Amino acid sequence: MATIAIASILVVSGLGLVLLSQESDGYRSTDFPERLMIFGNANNDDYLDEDDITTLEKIIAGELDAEDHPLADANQDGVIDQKDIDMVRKMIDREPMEIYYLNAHGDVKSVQYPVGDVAVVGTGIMGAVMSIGADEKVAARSFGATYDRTLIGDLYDVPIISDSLFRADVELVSNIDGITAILTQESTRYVQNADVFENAGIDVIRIAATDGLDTIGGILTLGYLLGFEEQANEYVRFCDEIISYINDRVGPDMMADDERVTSLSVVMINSVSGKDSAYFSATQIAGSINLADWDDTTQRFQEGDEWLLSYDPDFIIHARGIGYGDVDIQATWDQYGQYFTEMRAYKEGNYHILNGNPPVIVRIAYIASIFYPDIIGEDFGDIKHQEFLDKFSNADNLNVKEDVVSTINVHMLAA
Amino acid sequence: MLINIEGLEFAYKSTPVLNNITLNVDGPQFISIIGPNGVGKSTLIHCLNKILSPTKGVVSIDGKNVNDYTLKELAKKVGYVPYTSTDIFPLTVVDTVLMGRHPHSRWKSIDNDLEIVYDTLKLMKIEHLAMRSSDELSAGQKQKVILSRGLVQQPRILLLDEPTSNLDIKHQMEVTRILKGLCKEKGIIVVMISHDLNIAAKYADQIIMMHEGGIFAVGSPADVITEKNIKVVYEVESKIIIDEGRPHIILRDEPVEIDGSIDVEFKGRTESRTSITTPV
Amino acid sequence: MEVGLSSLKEDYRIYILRKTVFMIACISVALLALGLSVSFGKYEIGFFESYGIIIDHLRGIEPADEMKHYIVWELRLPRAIMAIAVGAGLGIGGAAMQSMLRNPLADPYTTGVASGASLGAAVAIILGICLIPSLTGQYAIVVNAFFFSLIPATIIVLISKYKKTTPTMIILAGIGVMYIFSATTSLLMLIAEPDSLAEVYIWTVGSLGRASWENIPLVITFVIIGIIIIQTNSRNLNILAMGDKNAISLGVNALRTRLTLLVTIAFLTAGIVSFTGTIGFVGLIAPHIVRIFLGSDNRYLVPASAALGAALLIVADCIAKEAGATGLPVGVITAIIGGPIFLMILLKMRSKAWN
Repeated sequence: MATIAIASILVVSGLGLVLLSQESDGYRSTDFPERLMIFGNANNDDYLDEDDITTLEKIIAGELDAEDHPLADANQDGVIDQKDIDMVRKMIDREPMEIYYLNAHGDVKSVQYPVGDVAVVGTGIMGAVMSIGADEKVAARSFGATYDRTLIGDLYDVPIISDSLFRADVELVSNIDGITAILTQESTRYVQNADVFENAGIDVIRIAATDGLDTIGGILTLGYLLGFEEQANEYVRFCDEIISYINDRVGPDMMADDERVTSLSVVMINSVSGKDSAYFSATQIAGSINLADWDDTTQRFQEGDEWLLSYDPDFIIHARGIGYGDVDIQATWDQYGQYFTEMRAYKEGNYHILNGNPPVIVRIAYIASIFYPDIIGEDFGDIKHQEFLDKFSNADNLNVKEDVVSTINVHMLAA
Repeated sequence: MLINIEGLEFAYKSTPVLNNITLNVDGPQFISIIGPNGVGKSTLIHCLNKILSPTKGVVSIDGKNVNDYTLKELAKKVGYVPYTSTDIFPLTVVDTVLMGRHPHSRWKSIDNDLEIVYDTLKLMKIEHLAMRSSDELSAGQKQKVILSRGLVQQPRILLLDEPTSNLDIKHQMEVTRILKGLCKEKGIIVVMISHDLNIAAKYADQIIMMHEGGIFAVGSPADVITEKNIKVVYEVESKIIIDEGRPHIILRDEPVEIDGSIDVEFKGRTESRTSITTPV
Repeated sequence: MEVGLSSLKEDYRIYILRKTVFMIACISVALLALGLSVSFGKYEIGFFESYGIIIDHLRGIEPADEMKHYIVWELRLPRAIMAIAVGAGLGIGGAAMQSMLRNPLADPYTTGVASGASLGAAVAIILGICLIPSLTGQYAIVVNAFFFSLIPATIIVLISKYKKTTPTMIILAGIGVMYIFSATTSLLMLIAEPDSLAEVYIWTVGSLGRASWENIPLVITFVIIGIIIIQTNSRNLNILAMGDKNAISLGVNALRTRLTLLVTIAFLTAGIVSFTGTIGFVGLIAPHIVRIFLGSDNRYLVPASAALGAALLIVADCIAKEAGATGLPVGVITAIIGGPIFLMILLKMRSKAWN
């Protein structure tokens, strides 16, 4: 009897072990190229591993075209050769060394791997660092109350190295030991004095952290550089699952155009997003047809203007950085809705104010659930928001449905 | 009509200008105020129509303190022709002169006002300039326009500050004669500041000679304009000749001869080398 | 009546008639532009259609197309009326300021109204503070702008107790206050959020877009009172132009008249600026253009400037509504057009008018 018991336990445990090990082999994303922007990632997937060596060998052998593999030249000497293979081998072993990467502007930059402590300039990039759990690397940040304390937790209290959200002061940075790089986001508004830092031997690492789906690649690259790849991959998986979920239901091939809803998005007070803006693509990803036909990033719709009234979207999404604190819902609604009261979307209750503080991927989830509550699920946004807060932020015990204002629409207002 | 000035004093900040002037004018007459530069002639006049407020003393017109008149009421009685014409506005002559009717008239200028303006322009012999712009006239014409503006005011007392300084002798006499005539016909008091002693002497009924902020002498021209008074007040040597009961002043000074010549071309012929000596 | 007098009367009558004709021409242009302006705008509504909508509304008929009705009746019509009122107010204010101060560069904002209003708006938008604490949003901005814009004029009135209100004193005091206010506004804009900064800047540029049936009665009241007071004083303005001494001798209290006009123009302009922001150039160039045709007699210069100001502004607003992809604030158009026109005027101007 005892023998059978022990044996069955062993078998079950064995099975369990087998199952467990299969789990930790884990998820591999395969559908999305050009996200991990590290030179050496020859096969252009999300991982730097033996597959890249294989690809390099094939390129050298002439079986694959070097032009299809823009990240193959690991040592940036202009030639794909054995030296690149040697370097990638070292990179696979994650040896400390100088490596090359593509930053948010598409510039080739070199950096000492792994990156040491950083000073963070920008709320978007701070959110990215937090999402991959790299808090310990943050030694300082730029000035500003726009960093959301609830979201980033203790990161709010690190030393401050400037008097503006967009800047870092060289002197203040040098006063803090161990900072090897300034970490910032894609907009040229941030760290305009980058060359000063480069001359002082401090790298300026510019990563896409705010512009739509580019942020996924940004986080992946960031995770690699800081040595937090596992968490970065977790986050990427989180994003990919949301995108797949939406695509499977309302993706480009899943619906006829006349079944789709139409939309426009608004940022700031009354700047309506054009084709070039991140929100335009966000609403497209969420399955709607965005009616904006102008190329500028935004166009203002002032009091007394008529031009927007010629457009007739089903939905209007107005993104505002509401934050995670207390929100005067009625006042916010009155203040920002006032410009759009004549639009059919507003009159039919389809004007939504969206909290712009959660990361882009969460916002896309909300937008999709607003457009297609029956297909996507009314709660989809809240569910994914909660998942984000639990797994990828420093917010303690925050309940999305009770504690956070994620969207505001007319049904939420006091009767 | 009456002008009563009692113990009038005036000072600019701390600089005294007029001290203790007492003067009574009763009945229509032509008064000329003379005196050296800066003695306070203009200041005295300005105290009579509220352009300036005296620091001490009382000014009364027709028995009523000047301060008790509103500006408009006073303007109906007291007219003023200023010294310079640089403030002239690019209005037509008619419009400029019409302004003189302001104290009397209502919103729109009525035909009556135009008639008065026309008559005055005719009197001044500038009626042909009526529709011209005031700023395009010669200095003498401008002065006549300003004079006309004062006259259409139909005041009982007319104050003039060197009204003929830009006019040639013909027009000087013309204007002064007109003013004198107005005294008689309309029964007004004319108070005219003048630098030209001979004109003053010829036409004025009374002369007020001012000296050092006060009145030095008052009386008929012959009484006031004497060689002694001129010496004291103007510090100038002179010789007085009485002609037709009126004094005429001939200035005395050491003559200085300077030799120079001017070549002149007369119409059609050339005069050779005329020597001209500069007289004293 | 002698020949001379009757011919003078005839000449004078023709002279007056020419001026009246010009004024009527200005008013006609303004009314014509008003009529056309209702069909201008980014939303396509034709001329006859827009009038159809107006007439239907007046007859109490339900609108066929709600959006078009909204645009014509709630946006375009109030905006056109506001343009007429504001243009007239700025034109007459400019004429009075230039005559009163004997300065060709004077305009209704010379009393410091513009810098005061900008500061008031900035305080409301950036700091969220309103002089009447319970107000928010657009109401707060309007109230703040109004009261702040009167501060410079108040200061000038206070100074007038100690110094005579000569043209020079008024201009210098206005400039002094303007610098202080501009500096404060700049300071506020330094600490502002990007959103607020943009809002303040756009407010300052000057726009008729905020016109509504709600605020038009207020603006019209200010403008009408302003016009009445200034026109009543137009004769005095002529007399003032001849110098204070002459003015007094003709029965006009120079100092008090200037003060009265100053306060009137300040209130008039404040009442306008609070709703529109600073629309420039209209108050400056309307009187100059009128002067070319009418001369400097204020009895005609003043009302004609009002008429021409109205015409200029409504034409500018028609352009503004159609300019660019989304339309532009009218303040931008008046600046773009006003600058070159002012230079052209300089070439034609009789400099004697200012000596």
